[in-house]
Amino acid sequence: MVPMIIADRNGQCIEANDHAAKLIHMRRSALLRKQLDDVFELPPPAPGGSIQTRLLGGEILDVEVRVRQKDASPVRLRLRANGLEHDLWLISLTRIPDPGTKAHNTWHPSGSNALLEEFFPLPWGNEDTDFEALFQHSPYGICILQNDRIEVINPTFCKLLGYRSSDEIVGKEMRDFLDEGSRMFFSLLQHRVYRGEAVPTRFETRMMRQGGSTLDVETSFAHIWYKGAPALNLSINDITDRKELEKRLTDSESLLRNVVNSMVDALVITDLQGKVLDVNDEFQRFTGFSRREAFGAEIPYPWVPEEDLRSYIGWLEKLRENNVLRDFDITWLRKGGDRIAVSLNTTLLRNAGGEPVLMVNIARDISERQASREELSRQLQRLQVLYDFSSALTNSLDSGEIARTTYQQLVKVLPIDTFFIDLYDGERKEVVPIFAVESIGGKRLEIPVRIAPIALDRSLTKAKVISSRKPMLELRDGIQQVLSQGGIPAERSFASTMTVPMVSKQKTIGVLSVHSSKAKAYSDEHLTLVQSIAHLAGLAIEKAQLYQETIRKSQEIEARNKELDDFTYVVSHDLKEPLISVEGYAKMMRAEYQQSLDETGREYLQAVVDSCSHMKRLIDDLLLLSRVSKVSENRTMVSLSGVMRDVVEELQFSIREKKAQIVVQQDLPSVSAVDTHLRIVLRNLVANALKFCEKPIPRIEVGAILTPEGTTIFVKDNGIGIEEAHFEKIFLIFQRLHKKDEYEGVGAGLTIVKKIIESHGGKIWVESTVGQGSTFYFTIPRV
Amino acid sequence: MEGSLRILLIDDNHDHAKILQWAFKKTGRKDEFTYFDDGSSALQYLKSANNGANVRPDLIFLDLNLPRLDGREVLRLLKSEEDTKAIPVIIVSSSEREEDVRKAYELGASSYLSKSTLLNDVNPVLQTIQAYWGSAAKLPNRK
Repeated sequence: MVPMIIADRNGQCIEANDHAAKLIHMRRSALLRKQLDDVFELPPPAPGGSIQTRLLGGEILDVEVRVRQKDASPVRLRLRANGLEHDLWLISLTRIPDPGTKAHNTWHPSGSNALLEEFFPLPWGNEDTDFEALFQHSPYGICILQNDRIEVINPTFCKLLGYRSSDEIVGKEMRDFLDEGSRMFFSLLQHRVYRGEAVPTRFETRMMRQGGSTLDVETSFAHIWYKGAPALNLSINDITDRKELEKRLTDSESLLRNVVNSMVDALVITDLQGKVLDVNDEFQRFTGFSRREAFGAEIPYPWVPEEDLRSYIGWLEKLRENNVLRDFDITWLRKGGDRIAVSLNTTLLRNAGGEPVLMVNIARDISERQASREELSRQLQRLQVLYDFSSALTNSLDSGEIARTTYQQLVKVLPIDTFFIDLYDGERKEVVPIFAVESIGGKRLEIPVRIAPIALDRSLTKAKVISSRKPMLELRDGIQQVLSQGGIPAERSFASTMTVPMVSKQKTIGVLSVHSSKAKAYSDEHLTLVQSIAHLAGLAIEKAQLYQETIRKSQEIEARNKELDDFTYVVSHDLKEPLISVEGYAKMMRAEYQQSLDETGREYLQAVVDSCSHMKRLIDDLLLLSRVSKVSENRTMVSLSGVMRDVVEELQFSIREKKAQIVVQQDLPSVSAVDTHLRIVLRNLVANALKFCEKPIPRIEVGAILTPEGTTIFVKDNGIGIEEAHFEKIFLIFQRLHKKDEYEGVGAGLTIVKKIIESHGGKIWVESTVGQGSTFYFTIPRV
Repeated sequence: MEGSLRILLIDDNHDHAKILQWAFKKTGRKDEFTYFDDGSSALQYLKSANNGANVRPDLIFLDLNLPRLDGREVLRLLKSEEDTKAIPVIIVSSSEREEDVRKAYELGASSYLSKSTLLNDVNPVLQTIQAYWGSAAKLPNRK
C-alpha cells in the first residue's frame, strides 16, 4: 500500500514495490537500477543539486518532486527518505493531491521517520512526533482494528507475527491471525469494548505466526476513533518466554506439590509466628483437618492437645537455636478427638540472606510403632508376671497361698474388682471356693471363703467353663443379674468377666474368675495371660494337693504305727502281768510242793516254768520292737569296731561252744546311729549266723563298705542258707522257718533288726544260697 | 538271810504281792509287810501312822499301775508330804519302759525294780536291799 523504493548511496534504485511503480507509472523492472535523479525531478524553487547529492549529503530528505515523464502529466510526489543500514535508503512516496481535491488522508507523516512512516503509516497526525516514535519503535506490537480488519500495524507487530511486510497483514481480518482457541474470547472482548463494557486490561491470547507456529501474547485493548469511525487499538506483547518460564515454574511447583503430597508424613508449613501457611494431603488425611481449616491456624492449633501445648511451644523455642529439631514425640488430636502418636521433625527455612522465614513441620504417624512398642512392653510385662508367678509358686505347697499369689500377680496387670478361685470335685460335681477377693467400698479385700463344697449350678458360667474346659471372655454393655432358681443372685454379672478353667492332666481341677465393673476391661490378650496363669496355678494347686495328701497319708501311717506300737506295748505289758504271776506261782509250787509231786508232776511244772520264760522273751522282744521307733532321735557317731568287740564278747560262750571263727574287718568305720540299737542289730545278726550253722567250723565275717549314701555293713556266714522264696518272710515277726526244737528263738529278732535299720533310714536285705551260707546287708545312711 | 524291815507294799495285783512276800519270807527274812491294793488306802494309813496310830514303815514298795490313784500320783503325794517324804520308795513295776523309769526317779523314787528281775531271782536283790536299806542307810526314826 505504501509506495516504497530502496536506494543505495549512489542514488540508484535497487528495490521498489509495486505501489511505487504504479504511482510513477513505470514498470517495477524499469524502475530498478535507475538513478533517482532520472526518475524524479526536483522542483525549480529548490537550490539545485540532485536527489542523490542530497541523499549523500546526509540530509533527511523530505521534498516534493515531480516525476520525469514524457508521455504523462507530471505527478507531484512527496519523497521521504530514511537511512537504513549499509548505506541504504528507504524512500517512501506519497502523491500530493491536486489542489481542490479533498485530502483522503487527514494526516501526513513527517519528520525524520518519514520513510518508516511510509511503510508503517502512523494512524495519527504527523505533527505528534513523540507518539510517532513510540509507535514505530515500541517493543509492543501495535495494530488498529476496524470492523475486524487490520488497518494499521507497527513493525514490531509485523515482526512478532513473522512477516516481512505490513502488506501481508494490513487489510486482513484479525481472526486470520488468531489461534482457534483464542478467537471466541477475543471477539467477545472486542464486542464488550465496543459496547463500552469493562474488559480486562490485559489478557493472554494465542496468535498464529507465519508458517503456522503459535505465539503467546499479552494483549490489551483500547477503544479509539480511526478515520472518523470507532476502532480498536490493540497492543500485543510477546510473552513466550514468560510463558515458558511460567510453565517451567508451574511444572516445578506442581512437581514439588506432588512430592509434598505424596509424602507419607504430614507436612505443616508455618511462618515464624506459627501461623499455618500450607499443609499437605497427608496432613489432611492424618488429622482430618482440611487444608482450608488448617490454613491460617495459629498456636494453639486444634490438633495439639492442651496438655502437650507447653512442651510443643518449648520445642519451637528450641528451633531458634537449631535449624533442625528431630524426633519430638507428641500426641496429636484428630478432628474427631482420637489421639495419634506423632514424631515431629521441624526445620527452619532461611532466605538467601540467611534470615529465617518459614518453619516446616514434618509429622510422622508413629501410632503403629508406639503400638508395637506398647505391645512389646505388654508382652514383657506378661512374661514378667508369668516369671514372677512361677518363681512365687515354687515354694508354695498350700492351695490357698497359691490362689493368693495368683491374685497378687494378676492384680498387677489387670483391672480387677472381684476375683475367685474355686476348686472342682469332678466326682461329686461340687465346687469348693478356696479364695475370694471382693471390692468393698472401693477397696479390694480378701474375704473368708466357705470351705463347704457347693453343688455346681449348671446354669453358671463357671459350670460351662468347667465342662467345656474353654476359657470365656464376657463383655457386657450393661450389668444384668443372672438369677438362679428361687431368685437368689447366683452369679453377679460384671461388665467384664474372664472365666478360665484350671486344667491338669486333662482334668478340670478348678476355675478362676476375674471381674471388672469397667466396660471392655479385658481383651483376648488378657484372656491368654489369665489362661497361662491359671494353668500354672492349676499345676501348683494340684502339686500342693498331692503334697498335702502325701503329708496326710504319712501322718496317718505314722499315727497308725504309733497306735500299733502303743497297742503292742500295752498288750505285751498286760500279758506280762499274769505271766509274772504264773511264773511266780510255778516257782512257789516247785519250792513248796516239790516233794508232793511225782516225776511227771515235776516235769509238768518245769514245762510251765520254761513256757513262762519263753513267753517272757517273746513279750520282751515285742516290747523292744514297740519301742525301737521311739528313740531313734538319739543318734551319735558309733564305732562299729567297738560295737563288734562288745558283741563278740557277749556271744563268747556260743562262739566257743560252736568253735566258730569270727572275722571282723579291721578299722571298721563309725556310723551315725543309736548305740544300743546298733548293738541289738549286730548281736542279732551274729547270733543268728552262729545259730543257723551246721558246719564243723562256722565262719562269720563282718565288714563294711563306704558308699556315697553312707555305710553298707554285711554279716556273712557259711550256714544253712535261706531259700530265695523266704528272703522277705524272714523279716516278718514270729515267722519261723524251722521247728521250735530245731532252732531256738521266738522269731522276732530279724523283725526288730529290720525295724531298727529302717528307723535309721537304712535298708536290710539278704543274699543267700541254701547250704552255702547267707550274707545280710544293711545300710546306715549319713545324716 | 537275816534282816527285818517294815515294808509298806502297794500293788493292785494280789498275786504279785503274795509271790513277793513269799519270796522275801522264803529267804528267811523277818520283814514286816503292810499291804494295800490301792494308793488312797495306803496314804490314809500313813496319815494315821503319823498320828501315832500305826507304825511308820522303813521302806515303801510301790507299783506304778494302780487303779484310780496312779502309782506316780501316789509317789508325788508321798514326796510332797512333810511326814512321808523321808521314807524311801522303791518302785516295783512290770514295766521296763524308759520313760516310766525316768519319771519315777524324777518324782523322787529311791529305786526302780522290774518285777521280772525281782521275781526271777529274788536273792541278789534282797541281799542288796538288806545291805543298803537294812544296814548302811540311815533311815528316819520310827515313831
